[in-house]
Amino acid sequence: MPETRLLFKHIDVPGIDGIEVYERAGGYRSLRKAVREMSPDDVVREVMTSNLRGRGGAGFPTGRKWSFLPKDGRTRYLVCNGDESEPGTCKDQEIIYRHPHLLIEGVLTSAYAIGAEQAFIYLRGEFKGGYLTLRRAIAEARAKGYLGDDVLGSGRRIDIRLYLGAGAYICGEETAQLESLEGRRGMPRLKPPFPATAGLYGMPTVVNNVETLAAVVPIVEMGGQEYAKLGTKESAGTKLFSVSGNVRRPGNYEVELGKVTMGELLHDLAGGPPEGRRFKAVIPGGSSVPFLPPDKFDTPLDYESLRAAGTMLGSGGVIVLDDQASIVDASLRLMEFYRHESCGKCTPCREGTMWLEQALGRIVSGEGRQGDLKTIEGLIAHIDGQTFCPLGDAAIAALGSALRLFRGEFEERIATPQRQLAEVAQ
Amino acid sequence: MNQEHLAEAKSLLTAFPGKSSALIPILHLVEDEFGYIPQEEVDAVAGLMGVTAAYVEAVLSFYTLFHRQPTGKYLIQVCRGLSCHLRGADRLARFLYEELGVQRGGTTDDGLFTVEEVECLALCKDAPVVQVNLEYRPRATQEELGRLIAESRQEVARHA
Amino acid sequence: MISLTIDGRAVQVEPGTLILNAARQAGIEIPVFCYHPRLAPVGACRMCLVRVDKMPKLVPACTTPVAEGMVVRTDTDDALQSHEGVMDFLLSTHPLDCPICDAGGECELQDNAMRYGSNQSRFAEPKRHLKKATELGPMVELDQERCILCLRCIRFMREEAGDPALTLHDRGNDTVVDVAEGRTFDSIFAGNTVQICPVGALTSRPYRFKARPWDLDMVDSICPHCPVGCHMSLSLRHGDVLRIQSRDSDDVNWAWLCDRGRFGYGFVHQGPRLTRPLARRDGQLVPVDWPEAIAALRKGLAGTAGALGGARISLEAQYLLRRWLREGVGTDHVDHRVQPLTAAIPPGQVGRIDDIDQADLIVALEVELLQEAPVLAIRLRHSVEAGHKLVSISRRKGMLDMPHEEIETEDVARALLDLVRGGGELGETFLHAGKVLILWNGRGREIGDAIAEAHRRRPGDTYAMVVGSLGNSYGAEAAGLVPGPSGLDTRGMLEAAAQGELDGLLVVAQDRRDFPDQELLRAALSRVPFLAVAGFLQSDLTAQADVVLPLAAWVEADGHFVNMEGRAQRYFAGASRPGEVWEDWRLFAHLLDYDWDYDHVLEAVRRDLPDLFAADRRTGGPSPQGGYAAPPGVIVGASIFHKGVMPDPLVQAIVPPPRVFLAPDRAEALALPEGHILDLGPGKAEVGISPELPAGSVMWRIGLEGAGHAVDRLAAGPGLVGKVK
Ligand SMILES: Cc1cc2nc3c(=O)[nH]c(=O)nc-3n(C[C@H](O)[C@H](O)[C@H](O)COP(=O)(O)O)c2cc1C
Ligand code: SF4
Ligand code: FES
Repeated sequence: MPETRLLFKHIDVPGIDGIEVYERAGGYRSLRKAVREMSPDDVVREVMTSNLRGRGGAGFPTGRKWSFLPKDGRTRYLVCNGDESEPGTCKDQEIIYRHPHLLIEGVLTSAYAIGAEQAFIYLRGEFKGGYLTLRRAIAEARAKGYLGDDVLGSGRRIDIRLYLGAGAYICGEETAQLESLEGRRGMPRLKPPFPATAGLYGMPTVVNNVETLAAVVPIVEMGGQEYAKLGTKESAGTKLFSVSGNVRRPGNYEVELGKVTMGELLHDLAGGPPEGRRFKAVIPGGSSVPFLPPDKFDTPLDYESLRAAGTMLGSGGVIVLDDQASIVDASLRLMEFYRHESCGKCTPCREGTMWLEQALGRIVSGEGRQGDLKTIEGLIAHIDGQTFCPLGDAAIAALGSALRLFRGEFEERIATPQRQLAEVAQ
Repeated sequence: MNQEHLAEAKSLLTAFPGKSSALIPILHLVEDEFGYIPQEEVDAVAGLMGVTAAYVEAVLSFYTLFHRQPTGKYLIQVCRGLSCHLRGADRLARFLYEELGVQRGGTTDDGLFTVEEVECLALCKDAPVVQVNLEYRPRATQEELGRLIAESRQEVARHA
Repeated sequence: MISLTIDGRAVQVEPGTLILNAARQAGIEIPVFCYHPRLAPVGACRMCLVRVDKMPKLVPACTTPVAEGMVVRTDTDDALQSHEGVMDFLLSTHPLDCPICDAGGECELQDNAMRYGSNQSRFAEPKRHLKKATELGPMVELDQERCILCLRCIRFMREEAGDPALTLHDRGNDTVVDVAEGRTFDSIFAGNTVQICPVGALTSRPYRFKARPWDLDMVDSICPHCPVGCHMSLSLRHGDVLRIQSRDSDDVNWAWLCDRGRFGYGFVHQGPRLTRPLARRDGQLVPVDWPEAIAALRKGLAGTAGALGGARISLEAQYLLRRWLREGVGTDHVDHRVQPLTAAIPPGQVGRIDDIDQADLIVALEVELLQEAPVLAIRLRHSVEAGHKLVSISRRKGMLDMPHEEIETEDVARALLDLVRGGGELGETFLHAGKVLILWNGRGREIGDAIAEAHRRRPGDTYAMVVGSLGNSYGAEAAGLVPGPSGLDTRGMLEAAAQGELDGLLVVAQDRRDFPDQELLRAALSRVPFLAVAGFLQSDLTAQADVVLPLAAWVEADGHFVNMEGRAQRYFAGASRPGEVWEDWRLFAHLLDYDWDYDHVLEAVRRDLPDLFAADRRTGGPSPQGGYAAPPGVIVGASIFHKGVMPDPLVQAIVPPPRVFLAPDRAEALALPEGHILDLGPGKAEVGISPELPAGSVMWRIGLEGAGHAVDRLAAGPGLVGKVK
């Protein structure tokens, strides 16, 4: 099963992070085409036709999102979500660090389409290297007239400002990101109003993921219709999957949606399990989705099929666990993450993740009690669907499925006395 | 803040459509300069931004990259995201604690190194991942980290 | 109207109503923690989740507006389980120290736990340990372990007070509420956070361990300290005021009070109160009975007499006082404007407090809201945020703490006239705005005239209010406690007395420190043959008096205060009266030889001053006459937080030391450094150097001990400085 490279077509070209090489590889053709030959609405139409869905996790149709902007003459903003903090996901990182001009071109073309003069790229604070890379690339693009007060002589102003977060997973959530961009604690905002009507500084705002905006470049280049032919009807185009954990060739792989199964991704592209091991399970869409067991590895990688298989495509971060990995340990590790990253605004997430972390911590360290699993299930029920933002649901997705699929592992750990665990550790 | 940072901070005040957006970039300048955010700087930043000190503290304490205590010259952040966890992050961290004689979040007595365990650093394909002063060390190994520590020590000794 | 059903009941409500409030209207209680009717909803605590047909998840009743045909159920299994879940979560970390908690009995966590909690917590993990019993500031104490992070206090401070002095720190499960490192919670609105805290995390230091709520009597009252007239509620036990809380009012204060109002009752019980009538016998002031004191008063005021003050007593007493002065004493020499004030009733049309929310243009004339009418700042901030224009015209900069346009001028009246005549962009706005509201500190005759002109220019929707007066100055003016046709004003009376032209003087509920020219007062008192003082507190004025008439404080009597909108607001007696004090109205009814009870008095007031009780808009006063005029270069400010005015043991901690502010050039010319202590004779004051002041000027605030030439001369020239040590 080969990859289908649209975004990563040129990623291995030496020097592609420099503007000369990028241009020679056909870079900035889409922007030029958009600005010179298309009206902003034309671009929006192409993106609609392409059936592109947001690559940040929720999979919301991008063209539809853009069309929600009210036509009331107010200043609009485009925010590119480069927070990428979802465990297991490292696709945006590679675009930012290795293919900065692709992102810049995508941002500029999209800003042109939605009529935003100012775009922001919000990077997680740990992407300092990416920040410097993008800063240099933006300077190059500015020197060539791709952005600034007069983009490609069109008389239009489009500018990009970089913004570095400071360490908070929740700032990937779009409204928390806007709060952070406005210099506040990254706590999600109440919706409605949605960012499309009242976003950054109260103005109509579109927030899109790095990969989503990068995909606008090939869409404009090949036309929405051609793009829509890739993938399936509901899941069009190509998608980057970050494969990590217990596989031989971890990496980012770009494949056509719905044309490759999980098994093919893991075996054909990622090289299968490490020597002498077998796969136990994967979390297919970043840590916030349920486990997918090996008996469902024939599921094609697209939004609908994965949902039908009881999990989600999410961000495309495929975390692989082999038979030596412990589901119980992994569950604790994930809960520690969510406990640490809960913003603290709403009760079930703030208290629930803490409680779950403590309960799982006890089980892992051999102090588990009979009834703990029931407590955990009760806690999950008290969080499920009841938190302010999706982080709460994300926190329990993998754990809930782990209890369903691997309950025995938890029971066994609870039954094993502490002493014995200590011996195993040695 | 030093003169250069102060000038940059002032220019940040008008760099965004809303002044409030300058706060986090300014705090980054402070963190860069001092390795943490001293209380006097909280007051200075509050004054610059025209907000209360409590407001500045509220914001900075939300974000893990801002420190309230001095950190070492080298801030070593070991990713403990699940992908790195599956590929031996724990061992790396334990190695650093032993090598440097510090606990999690601790700073060596010579003020050179601070070791933290952090959540997923978004380079899962190259696990285990470490960042040193926010620069990636993909597929980090004990040998490499050991070398880094030795070199940094020598480097500092040379300058001393 | 929107029709929906909640738990099977058909409900009709206004569009935009939240499910929570629609349910309340139908008598169905949905539990809440973070929701507060006066704060923007946040949906953070998740206590209020309910089931709505066709919605995939439970929805928060506190943030979801109703929709036509909606079917809501608050009693489904999943909704009830969700309530139980939130209770479980909140109790899991709660210290459960209810027996020693001040909020016991009025704790929303307790209440909800009884109704919605499960009977046992499954929490088996150790509880967290956080700051307990921490003094946040002079008035407020914090217990972080009890905090349920409903964010009410944080939201209040940020969105209402506009002063994020209290904020969240850290995040997730480590999140705590706190002030900045090494700071105190010194907001003048701090007390509100105590009242809205649903648990015992923020408690009142003065009230700490004083009582249990079920032991308290609650009595409706009105704040006496400024002309806003905030609605408040007294908590009493055995006739003692133990606490004051705000009473919600759409028209006036919403749900808020400033700390002067909330804690400004200490003088009632801690005094030093006057408790018995006193009269001078053989040069000695001795306790006498009421008939003797009254006889002495009548005799002392028999000749050429005048009366000063009366803006701190009830409307009923003001009315009777005026009648007695006219009918009994036969004098026109009367003036409530002891403090520097030109008018309490503006010319033109009197505005209403809720005009602040609606006016397209609000012009503030020399108004320092946080000092003189703090609670209005909350409403004004909301109005500005809603896009209404606010302009401050003043001799000083930095008068208002919210976004506004600032016109700094030596001549405020002139600047207003320019604007009123349509000058500049603002003038255009003035002429074309839907509704204009003028806020004035009530000082300066020319400014009053300019306001009258503003009203003439656009007589329709132009309104004004005086924000800078005492709690019942409006009532005093409406009742006629101003000089009659041939009468003298405050200064006139004092000068006449100093010349030996006045035989007797009655001072009603005023302190020496209220007078802007205390040297003149001293001269007057040294010559006037007879001084009577009616009031609440012992002072050096009462010490000098020939007759002293002790009055009940407002919490001890029934009455009305008239606020800045001309609205007579009723307060009720709650506290027991010490010694032999009389209600203020009783004294003057007695002097009029009326044997009236309170209801009878009230009836007469309602009959003769019907405007103050009318629901509709009030016509303004005449163009202001007389009143204090400060010397050139002297700015007289006011503050309800100033030391001196109604000295109060509880609020001493939150009032700054007395200060005299100098423009930097004056300070330099006089070689006075910041913080220098000026000796003003009877009092001392600290020098403050204030770049906000116009060049060459000096500013002080009413209530300054030793105010008069010594201070005023700081503005005049280096050679004239008073005794400066
Ligand atoms: C807890 C949480 C974390 C998120 N993190 C990210 C992120 O790191 N990057 C991202 O692009 N979207 C993230 N999202 C999704 C964003 O809220 C938003 O849906 C997305 O940026 C929209 O872009 P798209 O439509 O292009 O996918 C997150 C959402 C939640 C609830
Ligand atoms: S679910 Fe609640 S506490 Fe968690 S991150 Fe979202 S808003 Fe914050
Ligand atoms: S009251 Fe509705 S979420 Fe708190």
